[in-house]
Amino acid sequence: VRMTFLACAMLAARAPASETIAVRGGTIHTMAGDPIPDGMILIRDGKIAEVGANVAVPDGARILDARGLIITPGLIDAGTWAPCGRAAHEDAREDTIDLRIEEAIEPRHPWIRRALADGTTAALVTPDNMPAIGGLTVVIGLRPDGVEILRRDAALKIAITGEVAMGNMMTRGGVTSDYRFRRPTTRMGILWLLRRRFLEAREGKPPGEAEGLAWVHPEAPTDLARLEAGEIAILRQAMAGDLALRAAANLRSDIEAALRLAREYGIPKITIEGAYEAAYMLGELRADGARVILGPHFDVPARYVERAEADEYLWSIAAELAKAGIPFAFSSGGRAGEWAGVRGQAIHAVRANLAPDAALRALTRGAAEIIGIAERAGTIEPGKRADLAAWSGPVLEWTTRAVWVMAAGEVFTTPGGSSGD
Amino acid sequence: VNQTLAGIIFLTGSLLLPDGSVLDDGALRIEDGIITALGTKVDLEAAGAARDARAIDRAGRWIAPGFVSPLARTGCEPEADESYTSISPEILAVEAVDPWSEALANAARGGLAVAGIAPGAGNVLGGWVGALAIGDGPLASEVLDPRAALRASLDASRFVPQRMPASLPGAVSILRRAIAIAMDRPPGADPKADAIAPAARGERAIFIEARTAGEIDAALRIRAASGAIRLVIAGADDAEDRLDAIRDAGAAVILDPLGPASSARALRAPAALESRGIPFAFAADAPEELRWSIALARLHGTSRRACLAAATETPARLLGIGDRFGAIAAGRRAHLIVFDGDPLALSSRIVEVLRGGAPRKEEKP
Repeated sequence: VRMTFLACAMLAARAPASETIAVRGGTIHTMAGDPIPDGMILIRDGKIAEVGANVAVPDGARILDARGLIITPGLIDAGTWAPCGRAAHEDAREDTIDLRIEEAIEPRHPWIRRALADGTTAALVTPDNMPAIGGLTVVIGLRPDGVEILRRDAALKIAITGEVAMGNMMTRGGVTSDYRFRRPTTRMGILWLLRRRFLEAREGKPPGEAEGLAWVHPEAPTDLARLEAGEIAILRQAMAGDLALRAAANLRSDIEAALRLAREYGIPKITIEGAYEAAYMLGELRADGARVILGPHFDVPARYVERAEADEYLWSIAAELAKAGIPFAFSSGGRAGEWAGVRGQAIHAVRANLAPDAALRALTRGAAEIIGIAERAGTIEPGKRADLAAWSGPVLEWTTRAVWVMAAGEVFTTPGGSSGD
Repeated sequence: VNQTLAGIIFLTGSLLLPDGSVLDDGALRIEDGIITALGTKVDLEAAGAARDARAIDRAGRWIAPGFVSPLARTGCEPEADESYTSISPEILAVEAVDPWSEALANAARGGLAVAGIAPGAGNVLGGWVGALAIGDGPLASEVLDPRAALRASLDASRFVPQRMPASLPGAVSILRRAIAIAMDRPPGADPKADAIAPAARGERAIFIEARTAGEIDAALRIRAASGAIRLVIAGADDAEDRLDAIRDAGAAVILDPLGPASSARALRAPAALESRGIPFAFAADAPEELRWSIALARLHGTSRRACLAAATETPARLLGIGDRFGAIAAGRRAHLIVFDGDPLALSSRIVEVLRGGAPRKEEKP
């Protein structure tokens, strides 16, 4: 198997798609059954062809020796905006309903290679938490030389956190061209705006009609800035459940408001992002069939959580959700530097009583199910994308590192890793 | 020394042809500023092309076509971006030109024949690039086309601050809607839509500032979504990562001018674009920037033909004036630069600029 080093990934030429690869040896966590010790995975055309304990190696297959390693599906980041270039939201408005965050992805962003080097092969990219309605998310496959679109318009992102109103100011007389002079300026206002938009869409009215010109600068070319039919359609799809709705909601009051909003507008299933206080809301989350995207819980200021032992509390949320049977996954949010990926968070959660099996599930199959790519990724089964990570030891231990990573059948050796070629 | 070529002229010298080769002992017949015949001096004389013509003999000199820059602010007021709104397709950048400016006079002396006078990259739709023929004298410049190409930008780092949009996806969303609405609205219904329509329908090119790979991808997606537009990517710092995609979209590229401080990536770009057959041009305010760009592109493996085209034929075509400017060929205007050596070498000096077409209108009082 031709190996490509991440460090010089820009020079990587793709392996021929028709190549058959046999990953031989190693303990395979397929996430679709018990682990297979000393197993074999056959990969053809970038997809898993066969997996098991007794798989024959066809003639001409290139052998990748994985003896002594642990093989898992590639990890999945269930919510990030780290690979976006200069901005992960449109700052000039609070509601950019048909904005596609896909347009903001910078294919050469170093986060992509950093996350890939720690075993992450797919990620849902979302607008950040600044606008009330940030726009449409996208699921990408990670490659050292860029990204691959796995699922376009995967969900609609809204935000109920205090970040939405942050920086907005009230005008004190006179006209200003600065877009920061706008509503909402309070948490109540954020919810007022969100309700208003859903209500308008339900009634088929152009978004923002009632606010008129005061909403943005009077000279803003409203005719060109809005293509109303598209925005109404997106909100209606979200209300009907045809488009997943993801709400950034950290505090208990945020999460309560998100669930309330979902009930009021008949939104069948809502996904909560961030969720610092989800552990106080287990009963409601379960009753409403909500899914939870945790993180990033590094560096969360203590004032965001009610308990004094904030850090330990935050890391224990995953274990609480698992116990309550609420589907969850991990996300890296805007974190782009050290421990940028999702594995570090899962390790913390394991330290705070989450079972390693449950953590690995949340990093792979669980995340794939929540972000809607379960038919293509998240497990090692025939027909799935050959997205794999080979680990030097147990995945949920700090000292373990990815030795190599495979993305759609293409193998990359990580810095410090070595191939079994 | 500048000369206006009035009447019928028989001009002899070494001609720099569009493929970068040189026709020694060549000759041109020029009638009222338009090239009507070209060939070797011997052949043309035998064919009677020298008849009734005033002879201008520049034997031993090299004669090159006048330069063309597709994106320029030559002689313009310093502010390139109107801050009133980011969607101002009604704006005509040629109206920013000060006809008395020294930069314009210097550009004329340096052999710049046509400049695409453009708004900056601070607005999503900043207005129209105008094709300006640089005249011999303060009032002799001629607007060939005030709407030669529509100027757009996806470079969020340059956007006028604290105004919509403030991000790449915001800009993409505006640009995509603008093109869709321009195609959709009947003429006369909406002045903004009318102003965008020639570019939306592909009658004129659209120059989109897109520098990073992500911005280039976004421009290519806009091209894919609205099949009619003639996409020209301006800036294109990451072009070498997107060569096949740019070629497949049939897009052209406008590069920043090259200079001693250019990055290795920028220096590699011309040869990389040429290797895929992607037409490219250099943006420049002054003709000297074009000469530096040619010299450095040559140094980094670009062919003579591609270097010459990047400063003449390609930008003329992008501005929609390729039938009149950009080459020494029959039917084109005789806007010619006489050099004492190879025009593609930085050390060659300009001896004179010969200019056909519009005669000088009036002198500065």
